[in-house]
Amino acid sequence: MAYRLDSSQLGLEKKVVLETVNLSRYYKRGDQVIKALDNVSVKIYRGEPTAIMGPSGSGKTTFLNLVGLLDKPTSGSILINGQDVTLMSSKQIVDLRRHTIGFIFQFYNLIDVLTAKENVELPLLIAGVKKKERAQRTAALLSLVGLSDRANHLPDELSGGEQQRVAIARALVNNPSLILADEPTGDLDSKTGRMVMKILLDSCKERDIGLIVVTHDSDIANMMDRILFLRDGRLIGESRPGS
Amino acid sequence: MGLLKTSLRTVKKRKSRAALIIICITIGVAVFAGANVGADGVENAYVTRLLSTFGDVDLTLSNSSNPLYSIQYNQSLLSQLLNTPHVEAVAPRISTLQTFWFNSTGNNTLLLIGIDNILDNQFGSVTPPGLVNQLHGNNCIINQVAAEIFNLTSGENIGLYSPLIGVNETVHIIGVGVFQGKFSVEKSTPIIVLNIEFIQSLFHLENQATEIVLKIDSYRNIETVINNLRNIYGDKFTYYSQKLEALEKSESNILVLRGALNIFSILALIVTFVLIIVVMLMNISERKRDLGIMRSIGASTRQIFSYVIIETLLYGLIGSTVGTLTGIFLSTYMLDFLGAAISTITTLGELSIILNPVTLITCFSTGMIIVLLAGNIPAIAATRITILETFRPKMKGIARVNVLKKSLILGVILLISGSITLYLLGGGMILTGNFTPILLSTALITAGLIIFFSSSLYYVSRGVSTIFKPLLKESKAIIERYIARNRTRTTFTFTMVAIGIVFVIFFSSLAVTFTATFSTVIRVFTGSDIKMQVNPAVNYNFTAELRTLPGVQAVSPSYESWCTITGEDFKIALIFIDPDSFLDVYPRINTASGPAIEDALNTLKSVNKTIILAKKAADLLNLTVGDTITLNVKNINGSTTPIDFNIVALVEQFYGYPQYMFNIRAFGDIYGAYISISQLEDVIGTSNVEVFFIKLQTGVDQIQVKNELENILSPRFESLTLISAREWENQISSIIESFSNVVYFFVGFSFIVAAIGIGIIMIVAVSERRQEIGILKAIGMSRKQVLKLVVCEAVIITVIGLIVGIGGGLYLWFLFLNRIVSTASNLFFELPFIIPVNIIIYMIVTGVLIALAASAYPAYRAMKLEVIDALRRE
Repeated sequence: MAYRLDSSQLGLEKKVVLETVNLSRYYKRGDQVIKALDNVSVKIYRGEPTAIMGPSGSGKTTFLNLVGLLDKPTSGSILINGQDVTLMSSKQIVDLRRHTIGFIFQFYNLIDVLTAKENVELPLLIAGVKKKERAQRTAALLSLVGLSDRANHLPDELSGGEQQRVAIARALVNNPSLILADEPTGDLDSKTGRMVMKILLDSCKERDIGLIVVTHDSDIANMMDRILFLRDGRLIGESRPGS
Repeated sequence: MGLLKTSLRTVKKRKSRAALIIICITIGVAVFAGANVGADGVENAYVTRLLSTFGDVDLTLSNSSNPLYSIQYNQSLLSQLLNTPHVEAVAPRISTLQTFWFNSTGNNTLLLIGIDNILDNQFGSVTPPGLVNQLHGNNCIINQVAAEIFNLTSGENIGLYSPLIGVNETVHIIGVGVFQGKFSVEKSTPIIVLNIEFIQSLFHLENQATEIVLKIDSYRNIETVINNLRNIYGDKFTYYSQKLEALEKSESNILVLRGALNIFSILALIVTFVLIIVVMLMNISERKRDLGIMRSIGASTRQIFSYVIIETLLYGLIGSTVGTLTGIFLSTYMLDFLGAAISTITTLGELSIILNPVTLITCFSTGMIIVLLAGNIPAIAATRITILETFRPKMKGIARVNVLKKSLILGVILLISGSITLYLLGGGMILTGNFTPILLSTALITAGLIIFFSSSLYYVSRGVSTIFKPLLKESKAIIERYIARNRTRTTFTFTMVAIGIVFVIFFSSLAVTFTATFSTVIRVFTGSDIKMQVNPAVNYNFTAELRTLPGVQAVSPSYESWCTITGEDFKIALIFIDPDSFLDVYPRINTASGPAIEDALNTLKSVNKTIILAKKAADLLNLTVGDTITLNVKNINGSTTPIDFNIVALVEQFYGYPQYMFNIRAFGDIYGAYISISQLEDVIGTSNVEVFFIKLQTGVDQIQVKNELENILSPRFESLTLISAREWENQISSIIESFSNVVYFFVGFSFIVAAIGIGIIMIVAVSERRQEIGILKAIGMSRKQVLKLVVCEAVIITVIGLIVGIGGGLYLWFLFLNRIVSTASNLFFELPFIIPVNIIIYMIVTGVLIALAASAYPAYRAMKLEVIDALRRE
């Protein structure tokens, strides 16, 4: 485990949930090699929401896909809770997705045949959690995102904001240590977007979860504790809006 | 031609989609072509057999407006006729019934036929071959029938004698000929053949004929020739074709045959139709972006429509061609298989493939029409794509309807009306042999069940998935909702599985039930192991001798005599039996009223004029045990005497006399009554009987014993008929077996189609749910779990199909059986409702295996899907 002190929050210990070391992802297009991500080394801490910003093609989504174990890096390593995931078997990766990582997508990506409650319950079902515990955790999370009264509605019957709140509950339900959100407010109006973000930020802080949000929206990014800037696949800087 | 080029490019680029659609079309067309080419073969064999009895004369021209039916002809008329298209040969004939003088009487009637020696050579053959050439002057040839009936031989002279037209001439028989395919007359007609010129001069009918016969290249062209001739000659001739008449009579048979062969091929075409739509819709939805771009750069909806239709037609062209060719190969196997089955039921002879161009063109164009019709739906869907929608993902709306109430009610109505149809009309069918009601109610009940299940799919899928709960675990909720959400697609898929199974279950239930009751059913007809009928009649004491024959255990003589009852419109058949051997020979019967059968038989034996009466007759006459009945008994001399008989007991069974057991009106309204044979002399005035019922020793080979009895007894009688129960059983089981084979053959077909259908539907489902599968993987679903998700969905849909098919088949059989039992209310054997457990297990296992096999590839694709690819939005 790596520990470090942060000047802005003196006296508090911050745990590293994700660390990338010289992370690179190259694609070949014809004869050309495209460096979608080039030697990115970064540490993400629990309870410290981090935004990733950058123009189109800067490598934001590539970074998210790599640390979300949806894609494999060309070189470099990814450590989640100190374990190098690039060396893991596919079975271990499935396990990691079940218990350690939560995803939130721009278009909510709920399973449209399942109700809000069932969508939230799904990761627990997949992980084989007992029925009683499933019911408790699902109910608690739906209440956290303020959707207890909409539990039996299908995604189609929910507004965009409500759908994204269901997606947040689904991402949180397995008590992950890291949540990856790809443009979570991209499809919402700014007011709803801020409301949804607030729920997400509060839950992550309260539960000491690492959060990475990829966004174009500087207002949303400014709600975070930390912002990383990417350009042409390289990490070009970081800022702390609060300080 | 720009569109065609674009379509060709698309086909080239999207090879797997193209292959999928082409496979769908190929299979549908192949099954259709296979059935139709096969049907041509069977029809040809049927028609050939039918027409083989009619000889070479295809069309006969006569002149009914003339009292002598005579036609004035000359060489030019004959040449004109010969030059008519399709006509192969023409010959004038004089055909008339004439009386002849021989065997000291002038009353001998023969059919006199005058022929033109040369022209008539084209019609059939005569053996010995040189005989016709000698037909000049008063020389004549007779057929074998004439030789046998009238004892005529070659070399004899007979008188052609007709006082009516003043003819009295001697003719000279030069030979007895065998005419093959020459004259279409009854086989038993005595024929005398002379030279036509001789007859013409004798009858003063110079250049006249009573008929001109024509030979036509094919029976299919007879009608055309008649129409041609009618255009030229108008009503100068009367046109008659025995072949055409026979064909018209058998037209319905041919239609039924083609229909039966086509039931499953039409099913295959429907499946193809739907699959084309499903796959093309998937194709369109995958290409939404391309189509949106085309729209945004100015393509009109019409162009988009044509673009999709042209693409579909390209697939159709390939699929229909390959399908038709495959169908020809398929029909060879079909005929090999069916030929073996059919030949046990009818005698069609060799079945061979007939490549009728009309059939092939029909098959090809049917394929193209199906493609064109089906192609419209995706093409219209493509025109409805808005530019905006293609660039912005839209969540698919789902109908949150658990039960479609109206459809549910419709399903129930169909079910009830199907049941009522069978209930009301099913019974009549057994008597009339008209199978329309059962087909109608099968269709109604199957459709009702399908609509019922479809409308309540949410609960059905929940119920079925509960069976698999331990296996499904996390996937249960998703699968049951996928199934319910895609109502149309699910319904289509389970229907494909169900329809074949309904047939299998119905027919195997029939087979199982009848096999189980064979021996009893058949003994209703044969009375015992063997029913023997002799002519002339023999004293009933002949039983004593029969009992000593090898293999025989007991024999009972039988004589029946119909008696009227004054004032009643039904009759009583007095059946004379031997009370001593009765219980040894027949299956045991129980009295419906009165003492036990043993005591009743003892009374018959010891007390004169006592009978055991049919219960139905007693009921109609309001009589009971102990009462007296007066029957008008016909004596052997022909006189009728009323005799009083005392009723000892009432029974319902008359083994060996099905007509008295079933009381089916078609057999006449007659009821049975047993009386002791010892009174035969007294009551009827004879001791001779024609019928004996024989019970064989246990363990002997019935058929072998029957043959031995035949050998021993046949020299003793003019005619001897032995009907063995076992032989019947074997015959019926072989008929049922071949019938089942035919059913299984078609069901095999429909299963293959269903398997391909399920496979394609699941490929489409996986392709549509790429993103959802991606999400599931992202939130932790393993590859194994994804595999299970797809496979289990296919299995559950198949299980729904199995439930509908097995349930529907059993229900239909239950109704049908119920009708048989209550229609033939005097059915004294049990027809139990037996469930064909073996077949059901086979069906379930086969169904599940098909689902597993069909979903293997789509499941593999889903499993292999990379999350990052699945989640990427196009």
